[in-house]
Amino acid sequence: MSTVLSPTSDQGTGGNGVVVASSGSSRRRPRRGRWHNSIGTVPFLVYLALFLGVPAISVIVTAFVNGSGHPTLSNFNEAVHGVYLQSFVASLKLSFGAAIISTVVGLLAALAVCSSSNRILRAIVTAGSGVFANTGGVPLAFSFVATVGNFGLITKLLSDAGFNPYNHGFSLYSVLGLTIVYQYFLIPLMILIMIPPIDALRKEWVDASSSLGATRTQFWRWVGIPLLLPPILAAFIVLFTDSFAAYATAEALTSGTIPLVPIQLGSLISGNVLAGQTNLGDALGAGMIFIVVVAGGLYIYVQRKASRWLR
Amino acid sequence: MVAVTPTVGAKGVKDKGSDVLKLGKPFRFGIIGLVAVFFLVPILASARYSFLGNNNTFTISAYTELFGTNEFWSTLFLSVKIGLGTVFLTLALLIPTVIWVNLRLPHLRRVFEAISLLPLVVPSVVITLGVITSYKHLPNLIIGTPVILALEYVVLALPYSYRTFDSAVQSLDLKTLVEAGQSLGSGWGKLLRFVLLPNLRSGLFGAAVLTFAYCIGEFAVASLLSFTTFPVFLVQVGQTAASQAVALSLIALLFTWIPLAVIVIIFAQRRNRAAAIDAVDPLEAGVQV
Amino acid sequence: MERSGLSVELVGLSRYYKDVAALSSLDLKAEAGELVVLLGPSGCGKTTALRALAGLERLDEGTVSIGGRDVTGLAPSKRNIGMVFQSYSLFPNMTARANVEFGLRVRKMSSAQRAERSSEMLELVGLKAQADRFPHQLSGGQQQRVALARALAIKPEVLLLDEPLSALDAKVRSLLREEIRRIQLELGITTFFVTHDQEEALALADRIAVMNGGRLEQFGSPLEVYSHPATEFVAEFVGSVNRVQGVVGETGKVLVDELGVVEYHTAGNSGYSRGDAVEVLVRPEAIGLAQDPTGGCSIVGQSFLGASVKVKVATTRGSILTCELSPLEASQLDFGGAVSLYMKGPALLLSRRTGISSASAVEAQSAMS
Repeated sequence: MSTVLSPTSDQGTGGNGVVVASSGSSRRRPRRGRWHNSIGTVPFLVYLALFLGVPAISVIVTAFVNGSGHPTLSNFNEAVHGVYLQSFVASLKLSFGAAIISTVVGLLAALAVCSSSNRILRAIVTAGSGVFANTGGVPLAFSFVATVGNFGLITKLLSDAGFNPYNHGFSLYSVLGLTIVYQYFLIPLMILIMIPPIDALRKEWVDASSSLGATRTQFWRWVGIPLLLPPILAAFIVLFTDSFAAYATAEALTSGTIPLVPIQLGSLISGNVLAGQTNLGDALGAGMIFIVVVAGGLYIYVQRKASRWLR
Repeated sequence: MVAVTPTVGAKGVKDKGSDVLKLGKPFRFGIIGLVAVFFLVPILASARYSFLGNNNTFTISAYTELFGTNEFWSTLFLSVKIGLGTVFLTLALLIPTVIWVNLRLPHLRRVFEAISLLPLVVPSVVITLGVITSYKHLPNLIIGTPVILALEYVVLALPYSYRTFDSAVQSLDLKTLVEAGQSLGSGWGKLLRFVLLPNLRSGLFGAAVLTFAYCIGEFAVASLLSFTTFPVFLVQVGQTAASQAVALSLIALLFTWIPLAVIVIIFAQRRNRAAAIDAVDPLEAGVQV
Repeated sequence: MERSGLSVELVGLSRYYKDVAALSSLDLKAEAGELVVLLGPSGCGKTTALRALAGLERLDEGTVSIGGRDVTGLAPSKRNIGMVFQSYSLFPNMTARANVEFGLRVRKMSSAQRAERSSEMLELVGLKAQADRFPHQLSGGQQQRVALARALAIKPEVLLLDEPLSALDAKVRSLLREEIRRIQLELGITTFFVTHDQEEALALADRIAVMNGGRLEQFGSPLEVYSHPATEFVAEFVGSVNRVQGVVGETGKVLVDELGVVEYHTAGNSGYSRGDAVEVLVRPEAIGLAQDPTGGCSIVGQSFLGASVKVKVATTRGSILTCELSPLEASQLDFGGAVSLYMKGPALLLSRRTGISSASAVEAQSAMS
């Protein structure tokens, strides 16, 4: 699973324009009852309610009841202890680490691309990022097996040079390995998200600040960084949730042996349920929803802050 | 004969970035080079791995053996079927909804866009669990067949398909087109067929490709509901024959990259044409499955 | 309230992009407190000159001095110059007030002093009530006022305005234009104003520097530039002209088929002798129209411009001339009847007949802008 929430859209002019337009049109067209106007969206909303709403709510509700249908918090009690607590910790570690690395590398790459006057380079990086950001899942896992797996190309080259990473604590099939693999779709996503706000830094602002006597450092301190910080934070949240919810790559690489929340949940679904754990999976699922919702809330908060000064 | 003076004073977009950022060439090339290496090496490594026989010989046996198995073709066929079904359902749901929202409820456009992003809040593993617990009593025709996959993929791919199609609809002056069509006496059917859909071709295509790519690559829901789709088959292969799995992955990657690259380019062009419109690149989203 | 301005001198400014000259040896001197407009089509080098003056553009040759002090090698931040850009130059993450205070913050002024100064400046541009709005909450005209306040807050020695009104609509543009002039006179600050709009230039300037192809074509008061253009380019860029064929007659006179004997100023048109075939440039308002059944000319088009009426007249020679009449004059004409043409004033300029019409060159240039 993944996360989109494109930050640029919320900075676009579309929002304002739409509001203006709608106030005009509603004045022209007298209200003929809400029903009449929104009936065309009913199939869509019903579909979402059935195939998103019902499953999601059933997970949350089931998380609060026991096997015989009585309300209880014991599922959560179970979910925050032992191996499940470890899996939350490992998942958060993985997501944070992966998101931080990709935020930094992607930002640097976006800065490098934006500062280049080479249009071809730019076109290649943008198109390439669009494609790579959508790469994931099982094929990605196997191409990294071929790269830094036990018999991968890089592993072989390093071993030939006298440094076998597998003798020094590295493993592709670990949190560290996954952190590296996830960069393959996280970095391009970061580049895609950051190019528009970096491009939006206007030359006029630099010129104006230097004609007002400011140094470059002062420009970045008072103008450049304040403008870039909200999109960077928003992007970080997107990358975090993206890696938090990812299942396929980790499952394909580790065959369910690594303790991550989605993996644990997956193995509970596949039937590895111990006695007395009937609704434990729902508690894990509710926990995942909770973390993603918190991240989404932070995202909206950051965007709101930024939209104070962005059109 | 006309003397045309070159516009020298007006410096193009060309130096714009560098004027703001002033990053040195070594830095630029260094970082871009490193990133490029990171992205190319796994592809090269996969190619090498898939052609590697015993004792470092070159062999294409990984490929020939794969194409010879029935399961390769049957799972691929299943995934394509599910993909096409999902695309069909998605378009059937999106076309009327998005047009309706843009035409009749433009003030709710942002709300519907937000609704389309809701599936992101529920990781696909969790949705699968929800489907199992809440729909276990549904007729076997739905829950026991890959139909359920298509039904859920519509939802899971919605964040990508909805935005893509919505931004295409927005770039049209829908109201004017509809009013013009109606003033010329065409009904809704004709209007859709001859006016709206032809104008929305790239949006429809983009939404369809993204959805299809999602379905072809989706692993979590399919494997947890025990359907052997193509990615599930791929993992099974990986447990026994690594080089075949790598070969298969390489093929899968290339085959998703090509259509994706096509729509990235189409949308980049469209965005250049209508830069003023809030046309969001759909691929600012990563489709992780 | 402010010090009076300083003189600014540009000597031999040159700037090349590859082998194209964006500026070639431009000399210009603005007196203290003067408002100089740099006027020309896009690509004429006016913005390059302004940016060179601000220090934002590197120079290949030439020196810039302000108040007698050579500032050529100085960084923009050291020049104490206020600059207003075309648009979008306000920092979007700061309120109007914070924008105005930016230069003061750089100068490490105390916050009390900054608040006082920014209030003063915002009041000067009439935006005291909008001090706490962000740029996107302000109209285009208001944004440019804030930009002006920001530029003036640092008590600059020179004020530079780079097409500050071009992104605004017509009404706001003329309003703000007057206000800029009022403030400039009030502060007595030496000001350079870049525009491609001749009307704006004529309305604002103490002196206009008309530029073309990186060179200075003419530098003079609005009246001089309009009535005594130094070159054909100036004549055609500032105001509009009719071109007719003529032959030079006795001193100060030229014979034009359509208009008879036309006077011209010998001062600006030396070097012509009797019998020379020339093109004569005549302003539309210098041509009069009279009702004349035997005149042979007919009116083929008219457009009412409010304060004047533009009339197109087909002459006996087959050419079409444009005349500008007052509404009163126009109301006395029978537009269906024959008319004759006469001269109300002297010709603007003569030029030797050549194959190439420079009118098309001007069209080509304005089409590009």
